[in-house]
Amino acid sequence: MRRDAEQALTLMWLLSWIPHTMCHSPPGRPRLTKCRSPEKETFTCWWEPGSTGGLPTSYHLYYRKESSVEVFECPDYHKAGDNSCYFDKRHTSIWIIYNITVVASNTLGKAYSESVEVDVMDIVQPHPPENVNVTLMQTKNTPYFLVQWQAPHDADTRSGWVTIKYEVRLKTENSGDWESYGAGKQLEFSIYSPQPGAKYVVQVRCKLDQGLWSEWSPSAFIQIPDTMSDTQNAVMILAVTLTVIIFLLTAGVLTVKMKPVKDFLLPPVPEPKIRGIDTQLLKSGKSEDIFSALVTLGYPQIAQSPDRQVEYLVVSDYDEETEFDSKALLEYQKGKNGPAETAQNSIQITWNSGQGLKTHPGTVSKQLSSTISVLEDLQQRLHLDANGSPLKAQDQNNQMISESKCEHVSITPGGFTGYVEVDEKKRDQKPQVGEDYSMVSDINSDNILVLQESIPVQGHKEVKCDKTSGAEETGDVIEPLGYMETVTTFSSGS
Amino acid sequence: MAEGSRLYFAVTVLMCAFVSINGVGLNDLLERASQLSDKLHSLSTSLTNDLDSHFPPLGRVMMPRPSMCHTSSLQIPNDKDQALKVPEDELLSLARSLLLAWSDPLTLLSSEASSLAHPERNSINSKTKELQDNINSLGAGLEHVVHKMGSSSDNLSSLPFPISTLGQDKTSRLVNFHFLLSCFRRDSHKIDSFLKVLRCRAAKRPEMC
Repeated sequence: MRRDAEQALTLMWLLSWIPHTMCHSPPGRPRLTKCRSPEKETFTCWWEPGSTGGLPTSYHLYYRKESSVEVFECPDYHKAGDNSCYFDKRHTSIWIIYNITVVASNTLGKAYSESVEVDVMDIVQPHPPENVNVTLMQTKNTPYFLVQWQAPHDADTRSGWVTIKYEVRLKTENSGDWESYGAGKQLEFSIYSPQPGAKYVVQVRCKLDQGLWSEWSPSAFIQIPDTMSDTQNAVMILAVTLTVIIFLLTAGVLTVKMKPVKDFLLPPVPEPKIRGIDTQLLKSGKSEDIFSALVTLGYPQIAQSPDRQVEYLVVSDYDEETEFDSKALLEYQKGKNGPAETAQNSIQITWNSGQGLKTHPGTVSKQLSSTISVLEDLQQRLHLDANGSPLKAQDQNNQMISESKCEHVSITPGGFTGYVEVDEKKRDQKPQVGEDYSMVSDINSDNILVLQESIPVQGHKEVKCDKTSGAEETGDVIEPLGYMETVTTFSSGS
Repeated sequence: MAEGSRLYFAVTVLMCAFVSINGVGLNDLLERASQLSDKLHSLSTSLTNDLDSHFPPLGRVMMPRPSMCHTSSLQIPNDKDQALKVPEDELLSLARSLLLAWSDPLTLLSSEASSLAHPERNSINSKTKELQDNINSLGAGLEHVVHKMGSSSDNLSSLPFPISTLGQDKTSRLVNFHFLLSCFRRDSHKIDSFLKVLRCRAAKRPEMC
């Protein structure tokens, strides 16, 4: 019985020792946490140890380069601190994959971490910018503060191996949100319009090419003073506003109370005055007086429509045999404004040669038709019969026409004065090419222009009327020549 | 007065003609080229991120080694010291060889992008097209640089791309697409680095760098 108790105690005593020995085990698996290259020339890897297993454990990092099978060990375990491996320039190659493994080993065994594949180009993260400082620049109108920094010392930007880019962020001490600004490659940055009295916190970070952003630099602080000029401005604005209000009040009071001031500030609006009309008269209301007053001198006369106005149709024509460049005028005078005698009805049809003149076929036909209509009209007035001999009914015509069997057709080629006037209705033809206004020698009234032909006079010819009617004759004469020009109206309107 | 203004005008016309004949300066050409190559690399990175966002985990394990990229035979500097020792002509021809080597593969990628079995297919498709345009612009720009620098354009390495299809089934197509893209991403980083070194060196502008 006693022996059993002793054995149990011994067993229990032995058992108490067991946990100590059983705690020792091979190490747990370490884990590679990150690898970083600050300048694309070297890189460092860090790992996290697993459990130690109760025994002193050592860690070794082994790596293999992409194209070879040879395994190397970490060149420097200490430079970057505990649980790290630093690859210096000689051991760093870019655009090659490193296969890295960490081995934890103790007396009881080894543990291998998971392998990690690393290419230096993917792990580039620079150190933060250095010597960040902020200064307040007090310019007259726009105070601003200037943030300045330097590139991390190990980045080689001079050779172009890396290209650096910065970012600035700031906030006021009490607000929670940062404002970020890209700063490109420059080493300074200006912040305009700071809040007076605020305290700002500023930080800068950088990035190489397309790599990772660095950590934010240590904060730089700046206190913006409460500027006196601001309060001065406020006082001045207040004073000016008060003055203006006082002035306006005074002016208002004066305007209401004193008439001279009122007239000065708000001059009365002048009433309209019509000469010859007396407003008092209008107000008085006597109708006869008003109307008599209205109808006074100065009102424009209404023009009389001139019945006797001469209608001039000038139609150009000349004989085939004669080679005139000029125009023969066929004049039909109806009115008093004849060239020499009154009541003379002479038909002068001016025919133009086609030379040098271009007439459009359309207009020619128009002219033809209008001329023909005028001539028909003429015929009607002259009471010509089919043979072209005039009737004796018309006294006015007789005098002229009795001279010859047909109407007096005088062809006066060139060098003479031609009267040009056509009914307003017929002035649909524009003056033709070749018509020049230098030929105008005089203007009689609104619609009479006296042309002066410059072409030499060929003499005055009388054409014997062999043809039948005036209209037909003219029609025949028209055709062979082909061109006819109505020297149309040169009324003042055209 | 008229004579003076006429002379001024003539001088301006001559200067414009001169500039247009000579073209943009070397500095500006290289600056522009490095901007394009930067864009090229960032596009390929974002494209890779798009692919990775939904990439089946199976594909990762099966991923082929980057040394199997068709451009791996090209000898390039692998660190800064080596790179800075390379003469400018050679740097330029390396960049151009790499660029040239990717014009055919990108055509293949571009044609496959529209039928990729991936939720981000539209974004991938448009970015691939943009990548193609970018490569063409950069290639043209580098031609100008070659003429400016006076270097011979003959020493371009030929890096053939014999592959004509990405695969028969959806998964292998996706995997090969990813692989090609990772190769391209790396090569675009090389091109970018070389051009940026060139920009600082050949242009002789320390204030730019």
